[in-house]
Amino acid sequence: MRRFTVVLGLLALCSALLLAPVALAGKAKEGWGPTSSWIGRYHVKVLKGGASGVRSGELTMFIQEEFPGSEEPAGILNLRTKHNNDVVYLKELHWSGQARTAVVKGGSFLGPTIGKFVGKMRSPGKLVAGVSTKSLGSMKLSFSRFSKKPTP
Amino acid sequence: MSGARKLKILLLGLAVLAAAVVLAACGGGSSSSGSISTSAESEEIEDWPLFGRDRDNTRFATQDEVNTENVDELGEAWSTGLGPDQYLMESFPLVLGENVYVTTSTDEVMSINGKTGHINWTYTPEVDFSQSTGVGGYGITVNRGIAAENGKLFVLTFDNKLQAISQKTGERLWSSEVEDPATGAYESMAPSTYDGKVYVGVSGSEDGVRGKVSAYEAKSGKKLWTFYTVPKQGEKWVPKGGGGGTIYMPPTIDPKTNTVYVGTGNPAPVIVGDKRPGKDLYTDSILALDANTGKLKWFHQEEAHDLWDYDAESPITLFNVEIEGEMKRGLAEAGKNGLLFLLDAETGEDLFPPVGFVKRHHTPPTKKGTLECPGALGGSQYSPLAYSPETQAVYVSGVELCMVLKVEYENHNGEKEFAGDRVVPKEEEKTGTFTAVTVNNGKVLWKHKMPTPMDGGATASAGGLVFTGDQQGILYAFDAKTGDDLWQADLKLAFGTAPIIYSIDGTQYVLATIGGAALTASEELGEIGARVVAFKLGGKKLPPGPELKG
Repeated sequence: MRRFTVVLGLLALCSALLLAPVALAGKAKEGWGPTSSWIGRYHVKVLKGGASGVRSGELTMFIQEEFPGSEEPAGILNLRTKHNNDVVYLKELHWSGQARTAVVKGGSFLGPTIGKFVGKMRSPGKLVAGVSTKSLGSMKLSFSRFSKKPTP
Repeated sequence: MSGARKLKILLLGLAVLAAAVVLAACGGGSSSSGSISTSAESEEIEDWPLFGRDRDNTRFATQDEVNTENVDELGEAWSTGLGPDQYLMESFPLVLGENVYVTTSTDEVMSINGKTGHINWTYTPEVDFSQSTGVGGYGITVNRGIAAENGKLFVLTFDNKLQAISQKTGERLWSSEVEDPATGAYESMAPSTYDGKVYVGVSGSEDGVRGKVSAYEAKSGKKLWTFYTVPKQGEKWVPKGGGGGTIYMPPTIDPKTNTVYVGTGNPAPVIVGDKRPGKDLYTDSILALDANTGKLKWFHQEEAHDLWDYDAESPITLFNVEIEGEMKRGLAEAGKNGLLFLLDAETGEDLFPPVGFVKRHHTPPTKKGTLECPGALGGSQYSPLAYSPETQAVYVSGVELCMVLKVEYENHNGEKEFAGDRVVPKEEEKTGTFTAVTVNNGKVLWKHKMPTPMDGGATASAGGLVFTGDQQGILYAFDAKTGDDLWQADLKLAFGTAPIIYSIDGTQYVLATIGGAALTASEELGEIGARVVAFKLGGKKLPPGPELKG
């Protein structure tokens, strides 16, 4: 009986491990929830500027098609310090309830992971998030959507 | 410096002096910096004042302190990082006096002391980077450098602003919008300057942006003229949502003939051609325009009715050559279709049949998908050629990267409908070539198979050397005449540009801007970052890369 339970347990664990990527992939496709609720352009208000003193910024959220052919939700985050324009890329978008998370990539959507984005959707088009990168440190940013179109 | 070399330089100097007298007598244009030469066979200068150093855009440095005999003594003089979270480096720097001027992929302009690497000042423009398409549809931003004239530096920002800033302080002097970002257009190119004018194009053929070349007044930013490379949407061959023929690299200007030479990009829709009948002029073409009016003098189309994204993207190199006893003014351009074009600069006619420098086999794409070589990334991207008047050879950076192209009537990657699909098969090799081709006979002088795609171009010198870098981060110095691999340095960051060469207080520096190209990022070819590294004789030795096999 005990052996049967152990085998069942192992089977359940294996199934969970096998299915997890599928479940995650499904979630990633949803990005930050129903498409219309997050795609577009956002003004960034800096609540805490981090080690490099981020002063302002802008966020664009959209569906990115990367070669070879995969569609992924993604974002471009531009953060300005006194002497730098930082352009970083949001990938691996997940959501659960109000929570909105992403990894931060440098250089391109396929670039190295350099930080993370952990936020809360307060209302459609309104987000507050902690964003951290290796170089800029930890920032607290508020986002408000001003256009539902991701292009100018 | 050897006696023979001194004599050669003296003779070249005399020849240039004579040419300058003739030019002045003819009222020819001049650069206002006073040190900018009109051709490679010209006075010795210490700076690197133009994109390709001289008016002919040869990337040939007249310094010979570093040469084939002593290049193994080349080592790092200084190395400077370009800021937090800076990735990718397609910026081709200038050197004016003691300072190096370089841009970052996010449009900062930096003045760096050429002797020490100390950053003097940084100009940080406010730029809208929000466009979701960007370079090649990857949302990537790059900036390929600045132009300079009369104490002003000129930079194009991603959101289509031409800005003039003070060379001394980095203070902004004026800003003009060259295109509405709502069209999908963006900027990645360096502008060119000549005779009080700044010459610019716009990028974004894949998104159906309408290509154009414009001239602006350097003093004020006022637009003087525009030449559109393709008709408006809905007119002639251009379908609704289509266009193309955009510009990615700075025009080359010949003061002797007052001509602006520029290459144009692909037609849009890119892979699918059934909505755009005919040759799709003037896409994938080399254009010769009047520098004062923008009037077309001639065109040479490299790929008629392009179905493979084969831009004429790289900048034009000019040269003087004797062919069968007759002196010719020639030009060279390495096309994305994997062919090097050697043309008569006065007429646009072929001097020799085009020379292949990578694998070439392509057929019209189908709905099923076909393997095409070169792929849509091209056999040579924006990479500038180098030309050595000593070997009479141009040096070509090649990309060996075939792709499956497929006709698809869907919206892709933010591009317009009917753009088609492009996929690099997983098993496909991603290598490169580096080829020397002599311009007096159109023959391959030597050729290396390189371990990675070659993106960024080459630089030659009177020291008998030609420099180039690869995606592993290896900087190579080859013997320009024989192709012998004489020296390497492993810089650990991928190349997306060619080195420059300058001298300060009698010391010659070879400077590399490293960090990778958009191609590096999109194809995951190497380490990305943003750094400037200067080399001099007796500097800190860096380890070499793996031995070249081809």
